[in-house]
Amino acid sequence: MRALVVEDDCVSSQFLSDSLTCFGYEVTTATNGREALDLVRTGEYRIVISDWEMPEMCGDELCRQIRSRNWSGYIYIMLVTYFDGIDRVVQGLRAGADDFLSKPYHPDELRIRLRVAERILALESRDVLLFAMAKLTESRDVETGMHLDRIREYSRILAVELSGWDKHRDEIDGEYINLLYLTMPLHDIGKVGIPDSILLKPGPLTPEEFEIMKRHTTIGGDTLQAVTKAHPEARYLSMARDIALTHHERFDGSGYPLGLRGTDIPLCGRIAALADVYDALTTRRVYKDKMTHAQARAIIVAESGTHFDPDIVKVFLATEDEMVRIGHLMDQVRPALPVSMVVPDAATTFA
Amino acid sequence: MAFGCNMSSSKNAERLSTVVDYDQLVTRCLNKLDFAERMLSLFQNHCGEEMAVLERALETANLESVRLTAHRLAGAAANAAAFGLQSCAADLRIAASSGSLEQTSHSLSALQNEWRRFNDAMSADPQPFELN
Repeated sequence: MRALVVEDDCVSSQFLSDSLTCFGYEVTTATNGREALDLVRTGEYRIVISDWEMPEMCGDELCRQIRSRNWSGYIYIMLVTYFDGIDRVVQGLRAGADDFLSKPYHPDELRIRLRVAERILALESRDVLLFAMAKLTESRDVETGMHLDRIREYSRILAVELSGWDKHRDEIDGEYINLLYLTMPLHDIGKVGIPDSILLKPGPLTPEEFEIMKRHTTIGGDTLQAVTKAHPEARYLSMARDIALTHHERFDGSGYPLGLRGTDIPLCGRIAALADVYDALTTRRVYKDKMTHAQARAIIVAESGTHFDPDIVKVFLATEDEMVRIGHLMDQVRPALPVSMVVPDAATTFA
Repeated sequence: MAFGCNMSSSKNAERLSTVVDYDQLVTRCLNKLDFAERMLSLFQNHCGEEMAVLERALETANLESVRLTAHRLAGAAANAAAFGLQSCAADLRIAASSGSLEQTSHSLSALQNEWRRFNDAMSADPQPFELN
């Protein structure tokens, strides 16, 4: 990552630059705020570490100038100064700085604060990336306008309930639930790789076509795996990958693409499987009416241990009132869009 | 000395330790002796230039220039773990901020004395770090 150091004192500038280089940053230096602002305008810097008192333009003015413009991405600003009165800290933060460091500082402190900066910048990247991918998925979601919203809501309800179970308490925490909610809309992202002639076919698929359709799991899984490999620290990417790859697996091992069995299927995939099917059963398609909750419930219960994880089915039964409530609520928010095309989905593959 | 470095002789070591906290400097330089050596040398050269700026600023009674330069010097000295110079520069900054020429002049004298002491210690041992 690139960092911009703004310092008029050559000793402090060198010290900071060398430290940052040791931490793995690519460093550029400027000696005053005006020079720094010109460099920021190139769009190459997401982290700016600036001294306070400098000729031409001081640190707080640099903050204000940066914050007064719209940039393509957030710019994290850390102010560094020898003098550290609380008034100055307040003044710096008010000007738009994200952090404040007093000279002399310990390199470990600098490193830890930079990690915070990177986390914040990564969060922004995460949200932008997820939004873009969800939009991409939505473009291939020809079922109902609210399918992606409903499935993420159903998944959240199931995960929250499951988090109260001793067996899953260690695995499902608030962060897990948040990530599940964020990444669930990407479960069908692999459909971007399915030809329109199959995805939009107004009728039943031939066995050959169905084999191609099934590939949406591996297309999505492989794509997200490639991104996960580049960013192994990003937990949301590995969860998105697991969901995309395994949401058509069945608990008894008869699902696809890998034929995983039982708890070999990631928990997020097992949750997605039930949420996806429940939504498919309880919403209208051109080839079928929507089922009542009771009908869908009966099918899900009958498939406990074969299609679905029995634990998830128990959780579903424990939360069914909430599932129904959310389903109705979302129908009211935006009625299901008229469906003009038949799409093989969880409901048809479930039968 | 910490982190695998020794000062050239115990006498010089004693002298140097009165102007620079080497352990702190080396820690701050990520335990890299070449980094610490470079920083100290850079600071010594830079400090000489800043002292000349301060003297000129006081001659023209430009207390704002004194304040800014003293502030910059205090930050540089803090990074170089030159605690005596850091303290004197900080005092000079406060004196210049107060607007008192007499107090500023007095503080600058103290800084000049500390600067001479620093230079004497450094010239006694221009390469204070030795690898084991």
